[in-house]
Amino acid sequence: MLSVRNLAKSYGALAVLRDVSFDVAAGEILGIAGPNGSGKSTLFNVLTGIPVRADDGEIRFDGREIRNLPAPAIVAAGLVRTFQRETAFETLTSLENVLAGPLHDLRMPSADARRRAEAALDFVGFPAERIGWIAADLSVFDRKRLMIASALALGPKLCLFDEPVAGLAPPEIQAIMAILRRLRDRGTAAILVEHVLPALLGVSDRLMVLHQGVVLATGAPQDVIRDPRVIDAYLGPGRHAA
Amino acid sequence: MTRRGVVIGLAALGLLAALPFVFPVPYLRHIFILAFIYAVVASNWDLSLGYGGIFNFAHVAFFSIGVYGYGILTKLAGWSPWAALAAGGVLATLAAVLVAIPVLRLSGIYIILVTFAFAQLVLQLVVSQSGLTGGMMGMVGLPTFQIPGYNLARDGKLGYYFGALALLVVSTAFLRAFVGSRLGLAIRALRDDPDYAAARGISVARQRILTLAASAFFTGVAGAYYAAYLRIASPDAFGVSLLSLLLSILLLGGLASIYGPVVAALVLTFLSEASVDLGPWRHIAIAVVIIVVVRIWPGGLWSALRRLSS
Repeated sequence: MLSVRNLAKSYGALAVLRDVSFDVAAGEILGIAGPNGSGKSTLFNVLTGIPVRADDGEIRFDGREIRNLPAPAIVAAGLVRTFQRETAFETLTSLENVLAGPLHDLRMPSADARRRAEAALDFVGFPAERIGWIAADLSVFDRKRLMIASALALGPKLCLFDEPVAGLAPPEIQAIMAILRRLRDRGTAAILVEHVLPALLGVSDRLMVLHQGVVLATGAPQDVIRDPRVIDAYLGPGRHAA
Repeated sequence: MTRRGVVIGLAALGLLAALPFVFPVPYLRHIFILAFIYAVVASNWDLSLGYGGIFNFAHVAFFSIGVYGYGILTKLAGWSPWAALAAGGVLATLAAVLVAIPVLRLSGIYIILVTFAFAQLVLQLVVSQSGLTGGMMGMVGLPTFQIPGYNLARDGKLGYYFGALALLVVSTAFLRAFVGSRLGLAIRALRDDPDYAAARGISVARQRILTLAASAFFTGVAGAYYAAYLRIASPDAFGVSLLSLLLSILLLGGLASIYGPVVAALVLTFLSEASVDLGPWRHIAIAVVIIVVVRIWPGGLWSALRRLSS
């Protein structure tokens, strides 16, 4: 579904992503881990063109090169992201937040857009009594769920989740992870960036570790977390059992 | 709109419709006609500035394009005043699309610079092409509106009063419909967070062009109506005094409210007339009123009215 080859991004002399290559299959959840500054969020930025593009490399989505497409065209192709910060359209109501994307497609009847929005809100367990609330008045947890719902309402084939549980309490983390599991069950592919390792391991089919802008290891989650290079990157050289 | 809002709106409209008969004073009608025109221009500016978050200082130029479009088309090209009225809106819309192109990838202060430069460019064009526009002297003796057998300026400007009121009603209805539509939702989303809007598939380019074009049409029509009413097209239409008056209306009325600028246009126009005796202190007094109102109600008069009514 997604095939990334030799992706590179620099800010001046600082190379944030170097020669990054990986694939995501249909229905698969790829987890991405890595220390702060390893290039995880930048990877999401360049995959979606928001707010920056890759300098070099190839991004093929459903067989189509998308690296230079405008951001809305990438969304229309089915590649949708969330942000690390619990972003929302602050002055819009919760329902309007979720409706804004689907309604922008002028070919979609309003009734269909509303059905999609309500289904997405229901899917993430957003409280029905708060769909008329202004987003600025919502809690962090509700805003996280709202952001996920607004992504799902666009009918994505592949969703990019950037630290969806950051800043949440344990029960809220469980609720978000349950959403991701339900998403996997219905066959939507996802890439999940997360610092909370148990959360990441709990839902990922494969794990990829980024370090200083390069792919350090990719494979089955349990194998990757035992990889000496990964342990070195997280804990410092010479700290692994081997 | 709530049922209560409809009732209040209809009552206000009925009051304004009855006013010229209750107070048959031509000067009062003149003040109302100007206030209605300013209300149209300011409330349409509210669409791009308040709802769209686009710091568009070309808005006064859209008004002036309506003014001069009307003057040139009626006086030099021999168009009927009614056709020139519609053409004023179309020309302003085309100008808005033109100015939207360099604005697509800009934000904040850079949009102000580009749009302000556009307004100055149009002014220089008007001043330099004196053969067409009359240069600094402007154009005078422009044709007035007539319906068969009746000049709108007769009966103490009664026709112009109702024409301006109708223009305000149609423009306000258009703005309400636009803001409440899917396009309106997208421009509000874009104002709140452009990156997040792009991540939800909203095209910044399409929305900015649509917002500027939609805010320009009735502004251009208002410019043409203004030219037909006063029978002049002058570079004053680009002036700082008009710009500051419109900005004051927006500030006093409240951004992203549509009705706020309409209320503020009426209040400010009458406040300005009522304080003529203050001489040079008039502007200072009005500025103090605006500051006090905005200090007490940061959302402007509209938010104050809503708060008081609830």
